[in-house]
Amino acid sequence: MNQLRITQLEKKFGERKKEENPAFSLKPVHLTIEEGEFFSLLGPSGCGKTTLLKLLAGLEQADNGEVWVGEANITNVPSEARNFAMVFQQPLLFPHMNVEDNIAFGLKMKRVKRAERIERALEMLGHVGLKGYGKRFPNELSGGQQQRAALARALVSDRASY
Amino acid sequence: MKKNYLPAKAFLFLFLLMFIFLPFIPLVLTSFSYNWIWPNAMPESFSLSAWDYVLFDNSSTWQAIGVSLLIAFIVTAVNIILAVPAANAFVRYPLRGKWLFEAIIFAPIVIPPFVAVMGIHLTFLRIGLTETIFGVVLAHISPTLPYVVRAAITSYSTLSVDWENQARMLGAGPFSRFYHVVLPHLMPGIAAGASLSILISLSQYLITFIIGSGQVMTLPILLFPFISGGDPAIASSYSLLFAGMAIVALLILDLALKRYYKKKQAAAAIKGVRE
Repeated sequence: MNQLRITQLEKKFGERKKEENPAFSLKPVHLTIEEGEFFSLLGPSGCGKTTLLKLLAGLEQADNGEVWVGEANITNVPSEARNFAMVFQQPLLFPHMNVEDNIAFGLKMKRVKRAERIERALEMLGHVGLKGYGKRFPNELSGGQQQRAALARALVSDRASY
Repeated sequence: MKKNYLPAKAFLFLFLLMFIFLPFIPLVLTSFSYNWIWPNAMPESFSLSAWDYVLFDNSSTWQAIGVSLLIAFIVTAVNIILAVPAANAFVRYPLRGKWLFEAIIFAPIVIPPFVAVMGIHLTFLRIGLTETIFGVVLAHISPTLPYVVRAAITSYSTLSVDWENQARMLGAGPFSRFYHVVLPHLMPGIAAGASLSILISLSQYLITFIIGSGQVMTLPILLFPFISGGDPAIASSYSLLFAGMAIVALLILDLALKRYYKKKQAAAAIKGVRE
């Protein structure tokens, strides 16, 4: 059974000017999430939900603490090698690629053959209800459709998604 | 709305006509003239001798064009390789004393090149880089690099880190992130910077003259003696040739860029046909 374990994860951001609010810091977080568990993180704006996610993804470097997946300590593993998937708040579809290339991007990075990755991308497009939209470019989709395409892109590569 | 555009368009047209097109007329006339003396409004007789001399008698013309273009394209390639990482550092990293680095890189725009070139010349003399194309290429970098860096900085500052983070989360390593995500975004800026770099390098006279010591013959080096008191017909022919060379160089760059974008579109189209 793979667990995601977070131990004493802590992050302080640099001091801002004195008139502004005090510098943001994430108090040490201690958390264990079981595989298959549906976990939600709630809180008011600016309380550090995204910061915690970014620390887990490795997009921010933690000041203290460790992140474990099963028996592996991944605290110092770079983001691209952590095998996580993440849907950001903005869709962030690459504007110069059409939707199916966007979705297949993760598979391309895994060196999956072109025919196979397009097939899987198209299948995933169907799952998010965007069948037939593969040839469009992101700016030709509505906001909600872009968000769904971004979701498909995160789901398609068999990664642990958060 | 349409009404408002008309005067602006007319003005722009007039401006282009007066300052860009009209000066070419006497240039063309002079290049075909023979013995055009004041106060004649038009040349008394026409001849092809100037063009004949420039294009056929004087074999060094073509060589000079080749050397000019070679230098311009090498300089531009080096500039791009230098400017992209520099722009990345300027935009992305909090650097102490960033203004100082910026001031050093942009200084060649403000300070006359002559000042720097005298020092560069002395140094190059010591290490034996004068009279070589390599030395001239190095010397051309200082006046052209600021423009390429400027363009790359502008491109970089409109690229949010989120895109690269997104690519990271999809498993893209540093090289893939740069090639698939960053480079397509930078391309228009790089093209703009590269055009400026090519044009500025092509039109360098002083730097080429001093560092090349007359051994590296670019087109401006051939052209200059005729302007400052030689045959005006030959000077005009060379000037026209120079303008043509610059335009062709820009067209080549433009074509290459269009091909780059077309290739992307064609790749998308081929996929469309197959499915």
